[in-house]
Amino acid sequence: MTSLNNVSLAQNIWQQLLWKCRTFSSTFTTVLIVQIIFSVLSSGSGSSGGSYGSLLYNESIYSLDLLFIISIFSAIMLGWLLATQSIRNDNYSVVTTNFTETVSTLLFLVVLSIFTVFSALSSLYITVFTRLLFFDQVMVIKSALFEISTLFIFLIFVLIAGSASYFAKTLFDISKITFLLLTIVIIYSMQTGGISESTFFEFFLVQSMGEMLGKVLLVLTIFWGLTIAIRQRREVIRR
Amino acid sequence: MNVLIAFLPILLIIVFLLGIIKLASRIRIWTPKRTSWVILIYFMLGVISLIGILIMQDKTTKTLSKQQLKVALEEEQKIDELYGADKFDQIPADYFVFTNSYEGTAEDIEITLGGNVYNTRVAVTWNDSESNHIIATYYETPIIFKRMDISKDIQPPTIEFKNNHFYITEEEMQFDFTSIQVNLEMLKPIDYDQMSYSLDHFIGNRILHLNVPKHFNIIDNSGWVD
Repeated sequence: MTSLNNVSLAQNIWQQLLWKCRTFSSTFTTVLIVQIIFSVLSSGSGSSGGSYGSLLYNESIYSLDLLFIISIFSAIMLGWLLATQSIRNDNYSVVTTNFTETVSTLLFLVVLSIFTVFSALSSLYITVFTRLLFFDQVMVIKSALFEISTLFIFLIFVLIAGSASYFAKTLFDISKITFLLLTIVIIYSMQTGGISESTFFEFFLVQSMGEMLGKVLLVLTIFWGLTIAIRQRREVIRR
Repeated sequence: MNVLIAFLPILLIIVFLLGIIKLASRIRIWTPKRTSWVILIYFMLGVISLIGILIMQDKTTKTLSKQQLKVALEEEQKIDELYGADKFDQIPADYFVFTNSYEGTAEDIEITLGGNVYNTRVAVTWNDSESNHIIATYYETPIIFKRMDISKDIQPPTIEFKNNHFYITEEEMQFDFTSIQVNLEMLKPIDYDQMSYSLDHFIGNRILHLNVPKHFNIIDNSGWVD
């Protein structure tokens, strides 16, 4: 580390995190604008209808589902973008090593995920409230208006999506063949093994909170550890 | 010339957009400081909206709790048992809605249920009376649909008696509502178990009981009369 001052590792990472929050502040607005657009354009998350004998019903649902899907996609996109070479070159404009650069970017992903969750929640509240104000229709509240567990699940999936995509881009940069093979294996197992997105969700959504937390931490550790390891290796083989 | 005039507005819009883009690239709108302000204001709006939703109680209703639903389901099963055992006199008086008397003139009495009669069940019991009066009694327990009590909106079935023929129909009801779910419905495992299915769908009994003197003959056209 070439620095005139003696800076500890934690301090360095913290400083870089703050720097990234400022420099990449456009990622926050991107997430926000996408969420606002989808909240405004869609009238709720969906609707279901049907009949029960002479009873016909039509239900419009305002839920976090749509915002969740959008957040996952934006996390995947931003995770990929954060690992691109141009942004990584930007990251070297502050005093850094490959290790602190990667760690602080991953921490920035955490900040971004937390922001995504709360902005999704705000978007839902604002949409529902404006609807209540301007439409004269009684709305049925079908769940608690604020649930920590929901937010937590939201957060971990957004975070995993972001980390996975960051890792994927890192892998893509170092070895396109490996990336291609991995993609083929995943697609092949999804086609033949009956593995789908729901299998992925079911893997994490287990009854016991401890088990779920363990699985999440395990997966995040694998992604983060591999990402950091690959980045370290790149430092050595620079030509 | 006309073509040029027609394209003029489009050209103007393009020029206007180009101008905006040019201007926007010169001025940096989303500075970090402004971004943090926007985020802060957005979160504040979210909190205000949450408080607003909580305050506007006249425009929101809550669904019944699982406990209330279970009580209703138990009650439904209890009435079901009474229905199965033809013990109509034991159905609590709270559920009694109306009773009508019809006079039969022929030996054969036909019953036709409308195609949409799905919730109302019709049962026939016999009595030894010599009179020609058929007594129709309608019972209804609180109707819960999709975890909401909709008893007030539900209309009792219409019974028409013409030429010794009963026509029983239910009035069609359109039920539109908007719901808020601050959770991830898509991640919830679909519960195929009977209990939660009943909790989420229709709870309640609608029973039409016809007490018929023995000397009549009942012809059931629909095959649904118990």
